[in-house]
Amino acid sequence: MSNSHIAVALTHSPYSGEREGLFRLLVLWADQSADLRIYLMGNGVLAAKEGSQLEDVISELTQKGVVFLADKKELNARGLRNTIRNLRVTDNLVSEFVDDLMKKDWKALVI
Amino acid sequence: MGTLTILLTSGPYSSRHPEFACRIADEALKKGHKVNMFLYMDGVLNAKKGQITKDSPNIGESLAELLKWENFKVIACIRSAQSRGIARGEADSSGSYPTDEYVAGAVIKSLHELGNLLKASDKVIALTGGR
Amino acid sequence: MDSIAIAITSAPYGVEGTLGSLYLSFPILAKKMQLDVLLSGDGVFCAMKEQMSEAIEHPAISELLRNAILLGGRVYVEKESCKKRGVKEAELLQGVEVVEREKISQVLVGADGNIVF
Repeated sequence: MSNSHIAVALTHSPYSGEREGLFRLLVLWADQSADLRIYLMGNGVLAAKEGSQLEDVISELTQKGVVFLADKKELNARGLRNTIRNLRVTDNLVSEFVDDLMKKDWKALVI
Repeated sequence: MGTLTILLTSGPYSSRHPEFACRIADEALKKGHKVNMFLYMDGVLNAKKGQITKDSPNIGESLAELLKWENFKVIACIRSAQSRGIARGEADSSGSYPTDEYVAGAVIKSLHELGNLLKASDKVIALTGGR
Repeated sequence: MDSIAIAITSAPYGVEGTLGSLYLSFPILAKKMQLDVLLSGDGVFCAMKEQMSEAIEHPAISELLRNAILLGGRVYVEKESCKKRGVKEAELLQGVEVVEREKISQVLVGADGNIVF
């Protein structure tokens, strides 16, 4: 798995469905030295809220080099001012996602 | 530059997946890539003309706008379209099924067309679910 | 692309996505692409054998999986999801492979393209 480059777009709330499984998968990939970027779109930005139960696992992931990006407009729409440390807030998340998605040696998932 | 196929299974407005699909397509086209959007299951509803929206971006209009790009195609699955009352009749010589319900440029074909698109594409993303 | 992984996390007969996702197998196999179907979460129920769905007027999901295997597709079922749901290997279709999460992850990332339902 090392030398894998993976872009994951999280478009739903991290608290819905089988998302618990998703974060375990992300930890697995991070442990296997995959280059991981998590794009928080739509309700996916809820993962960026400071103080949630997810903060520990997100912190673990960022310490392993995983990059979390969130759309500024989506954060503002939801009144999310206090966000997790090391979050990259961007004005054009979709453009950055497409850049990674279309790179030859990158894989992309939308969840 | 590459070819991206976007598989969209969510209908318009019940989730934001169609909006995200259009935005991804738009960015990819601006960067010079070719984009195919395959509409499947409730996704076939996205290409319907005559959508009137007050509370969200108009997906039909977004697709109509994107269809002005030469390198963008919208193809809907015949089986999904028939079950939703959108397609009637037999396929023509190009394999397209007739409908008068769609924005100009969107076509309806067999699910096997998705196989052709995937084989010829560099990347695929699927916007499914919609919760 | 030469290989596609389809990941299914929903149970059969409840939502259209489960049936719809399996129908995708056939155009993929017809173009001679490698197909891997990954069943996890509630998706493991798709691999139960002896599904008799005629009474609910629904095609049997198990038949679609069986046909996909016959045509060269591979079907993986996640062990932990089975255990959590009381699904035993003996209850599953012949030809599916019960695997750890790591294998599911590896196949998902290893495919040229992936479709997650």
